[in-house]
Amino acid sequence: MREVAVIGVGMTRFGRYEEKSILDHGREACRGALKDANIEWREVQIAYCGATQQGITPGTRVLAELALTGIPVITVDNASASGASAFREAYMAVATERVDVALAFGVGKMGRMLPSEVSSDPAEQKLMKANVGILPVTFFAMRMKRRMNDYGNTIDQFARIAVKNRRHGSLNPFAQFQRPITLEDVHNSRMICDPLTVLHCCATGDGGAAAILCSMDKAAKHVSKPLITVAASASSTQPYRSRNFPGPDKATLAAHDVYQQSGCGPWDMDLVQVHDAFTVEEIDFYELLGFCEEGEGGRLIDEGVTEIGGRVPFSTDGGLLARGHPMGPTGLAQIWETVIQLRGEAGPRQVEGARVGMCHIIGFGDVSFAHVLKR
Amino acid sequence: MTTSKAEESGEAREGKKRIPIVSDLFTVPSSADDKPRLIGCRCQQCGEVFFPGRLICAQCGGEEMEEAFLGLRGNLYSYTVMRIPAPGYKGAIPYAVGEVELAEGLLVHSVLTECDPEKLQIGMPLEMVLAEVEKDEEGNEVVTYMFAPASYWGEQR
Repeated sequence: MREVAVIGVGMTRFGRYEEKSILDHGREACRGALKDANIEWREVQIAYCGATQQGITPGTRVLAELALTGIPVITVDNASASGASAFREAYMAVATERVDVALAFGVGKMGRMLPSEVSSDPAEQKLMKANVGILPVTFFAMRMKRRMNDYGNTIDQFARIAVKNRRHGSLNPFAQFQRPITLEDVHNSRMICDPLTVLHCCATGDGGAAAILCSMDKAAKHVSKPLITVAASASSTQPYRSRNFPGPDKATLAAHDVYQQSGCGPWDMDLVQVHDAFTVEEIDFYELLGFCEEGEGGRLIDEGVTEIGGRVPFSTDGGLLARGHPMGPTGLAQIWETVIQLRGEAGPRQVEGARVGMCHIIGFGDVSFAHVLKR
Repeated sequence: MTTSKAEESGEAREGKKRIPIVSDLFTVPSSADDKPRLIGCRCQQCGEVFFPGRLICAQCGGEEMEEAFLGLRGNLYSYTVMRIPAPGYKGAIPYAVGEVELAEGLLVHSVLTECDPEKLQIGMPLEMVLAEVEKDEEGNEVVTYMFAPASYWGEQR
């Protein structure tokens, strides 16, 4: 397979926009990426749209805003990982020489997602009905409690993740939340299910993000900025775990693949983006992605290792917690941030000398995607 | 749902019935001697156990499943106390939700009958009970399964 460059990225500032639709967010993000790539829409040869719960074929509906041109347009749904899925498909289309120029974009307008909306299948709804009283957030609170029991994690350690990511977000003009918060703010925010307060969770929101990928020879014609290339791309699903028990998680397979493909290990990464929808997830990922032993994740946040300025910054754009999580575009917002950082254009949140960045994301239904970009 | 003790007998008060909130997921005992059980399945080829039941064994691919009655006892794997109601939840706030490790090794989830965090502890033994979610138009109790501190727990402490 040939090498692929990411020549342009664009995104909207995630947030709540009553008047805007996914057509607006998608149009804005795609135009931004095309402009950043210095390429015309009519030069794109295939397009992938990452979206979930946005109605029927959002890909073609959004691109009709630019004009359908006859190229294939495919919508992919992998829940939170939809944007990363679209990116991977676009990457594969160029890498396998199917096309020279591909567009990957994601859109989302998230209302409050109720468990009943996750599936309309009667068999799947059965357990949810019998378990009335249980929400997705419930599982994360129980995970926090279990970590506190098994590894001695403290509520402060989880809160520090929120404080760190909100600080990073305050340095990112595209982040949904621009105001830093303190440990006190986290502890005093509304209790949902103990010990999890509101500020341990990402908010819902709307937005779009996009990337243009192309072959190396085409890339040189369009951009003079340092070329950012895809060093690795992988995806996996969580294999069946006997008796439904937690164990080595869905993260590890895709992450292991990209470490192998790129020849880089965890500590070779200059920055990492993960699925920090809840503070506990980021600590779990320190371990699952191989940055420390099981149970040691709390130490990394305590010692500032994962702050911008630390040894390996995580969630440099604010992560899901601060930058936001409209689901469809999130994986591409991770790519956006990584490209901006590798180009040296991240301003006050710039990671010094960033050359290699990893984007890892999971989706409901046990899917996992990982990419490594390098300059 | 309340946090008071759930009844074990099949007949509710005043001649009304106990109706499961969904069918074929758990049993509703008809006598006071029977305990409610979860209805899962066991693969006849490799012995793997599942809840809810399924048609194809995820462990070995076998397609011969037999019904398995689970959930008599378990341990509290983790829990949390909910301060906001989930949509459709009609019981008292706060209420506790537990992650329960069944004796068969399966992990299941349910509301707990006990919501005082002072009385909950990871590892404590639990037993399955049925509790009312709501009443239907005829006044019958619509029930689901929950887990309660095992009746012998108080004596052993």
